[in-house]
Amino acid sequence: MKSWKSRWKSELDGRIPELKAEVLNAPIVTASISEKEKSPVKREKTSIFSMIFGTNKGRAFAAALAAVIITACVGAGLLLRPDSKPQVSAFALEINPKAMFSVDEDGVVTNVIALNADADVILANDECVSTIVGRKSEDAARMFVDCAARLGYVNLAAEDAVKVTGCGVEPVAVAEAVKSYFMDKGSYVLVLTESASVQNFCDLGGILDCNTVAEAVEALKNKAVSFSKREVESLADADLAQLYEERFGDDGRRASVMQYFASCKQTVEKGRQDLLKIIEKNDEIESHGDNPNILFKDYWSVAMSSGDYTEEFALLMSQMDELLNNYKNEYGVEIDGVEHLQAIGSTLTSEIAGVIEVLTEKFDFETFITHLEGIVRMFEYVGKDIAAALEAPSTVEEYLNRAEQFFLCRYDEMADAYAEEYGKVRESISQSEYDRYINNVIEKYGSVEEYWQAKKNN
Amino acid sequence: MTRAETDRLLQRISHGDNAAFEELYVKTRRGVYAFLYTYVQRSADAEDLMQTVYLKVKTNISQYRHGTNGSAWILQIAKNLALNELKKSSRLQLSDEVIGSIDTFEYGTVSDAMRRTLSEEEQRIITLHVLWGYRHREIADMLGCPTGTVTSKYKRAIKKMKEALKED
Repeated sequence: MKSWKSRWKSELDGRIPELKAEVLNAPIVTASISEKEKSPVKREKTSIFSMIFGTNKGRAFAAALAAVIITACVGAGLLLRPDSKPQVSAFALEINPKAMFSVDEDGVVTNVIALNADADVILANDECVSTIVGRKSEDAARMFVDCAARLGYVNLAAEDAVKVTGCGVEPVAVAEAVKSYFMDKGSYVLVLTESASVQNFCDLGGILDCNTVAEAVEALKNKAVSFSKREVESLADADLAQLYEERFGDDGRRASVMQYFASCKQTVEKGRQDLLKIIEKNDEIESHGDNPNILFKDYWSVAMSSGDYTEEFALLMSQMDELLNNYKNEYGVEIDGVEHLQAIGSTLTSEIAGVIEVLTEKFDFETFITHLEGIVRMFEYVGKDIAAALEAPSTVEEYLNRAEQFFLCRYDEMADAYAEEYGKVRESISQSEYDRYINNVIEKYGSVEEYWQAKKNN
Repeated sequence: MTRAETDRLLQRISHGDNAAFEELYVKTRRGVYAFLYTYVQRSADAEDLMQTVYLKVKTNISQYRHGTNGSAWILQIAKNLALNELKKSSRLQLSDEVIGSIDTFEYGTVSDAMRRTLSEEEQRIITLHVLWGYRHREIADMLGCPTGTVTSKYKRAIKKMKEALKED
């Protein structure tokens, strides 16, 4: 059965009319300025497509691989290049985010899993995963590396290193694709390649009981993408709070609160408006000349007393009935007396309303914490429990939701922080410049492996 | 269609290449139509506006700066036209007879599921992501909301639609 996306596209094709003749035949109004006089905008090198398909440099460098690709054999069972029949394979990419990719016989990525929480930041975005899975392995690797670079995990302005580990085949093509990405970006990043035995590769990915490449790839294909999810799979609920504290701590609470605040702010504002209407209506009732009570003239006191109302006053009472019912239905909160309403009123007219407005424009965690009590009350009036967002999760589902919120927030923050650096246009690096860089690395560190270790330990 | 391809087509159009214009139409019409629909919510209006969008591409092509985001330029034209149309409709205070002619799609179709279960914003997010290939972050910038909001709305929208379509 076709996916809903394909069906939707077919339906649209069936509905969309052809262009009318008057549009087809309408003249194109070209500029009077010639193309030579226009200065085209220098294109930002942000599009992975322009890097993959728009340059010949990456392809040209493939021929000069042997001198700069270092292959280290780890453990027993050096993997030889397979015979001509295509086989499944897998590779791991370590930047700081670490991820593992399963690849089918056609060289297409079938799954990508995060090997640490930093990779979760990248892969928490479903769209990121969907742009990686289904692509050729070289393109998928470049996509992942580009995401990492976008977030500042790779310092494009300084020298850095990444590692590609293969299981099943030498990760030559993937390593070359990653290398050409950085060279196009004008960044000196060493790409270290390693060929791992099945056992060592599986240890890297937490894959159990696999003896062959095919078994490892099959197991990898079925693993959950999220590192955090796999981490808590076998954890008892009682241990979640501690793990959450270790993994996310204050940053997690901040992200959780930010996300909750953002999702509730419209509700809070609407609730505030609705509460003001109720307060106004109660004031109207209290001050009305036909109010039958002598002492306690608020809506609730009047409703409890058994008096007759004039038609006009009865209308006010029924309007208040409706406002209160609507409020209860919308927010799940029953305002059950004038004291309750007065408490709400004093919060609404306090500085808290102003603080919430400021936080709505730009959320600041310190401001939030400073005014926590008032904000919690304000949220409670519209049935929202923002205080819960500060507490540690008590179920796996809650843990994973909070983790996702944290990763999505982190993604935005890092992308913003690194946007300027990422967006800088740098001259791409030639092969000879890259060779010189490798020679300098070896001279200074002794070997590329030592350089990699030094970078990893920093 | 990639951004680079859109840019190339628009550049050719700016040189008077009508064949490039026809190619642009074929490759972007789904996205433009669906985007317009998220505003006007009526097929007839979306169809009329589509014609105007592409006419404006021809007449305003000199305003497009080569190397910038061609898709965004086309969508901006579409959005402006849609909003103008909505303002016009509210000013004219169309009668119930006209307003009453709400689209009814065949039950079980994706269009029907979207119309029944999704808000206009959810429809827009899905259109921009599925038909235009925008990332959630880019959509968030376009709509002026956090990326997380776009992601969660997208997920919720997909879930609602799949339930309506009774897919796994």
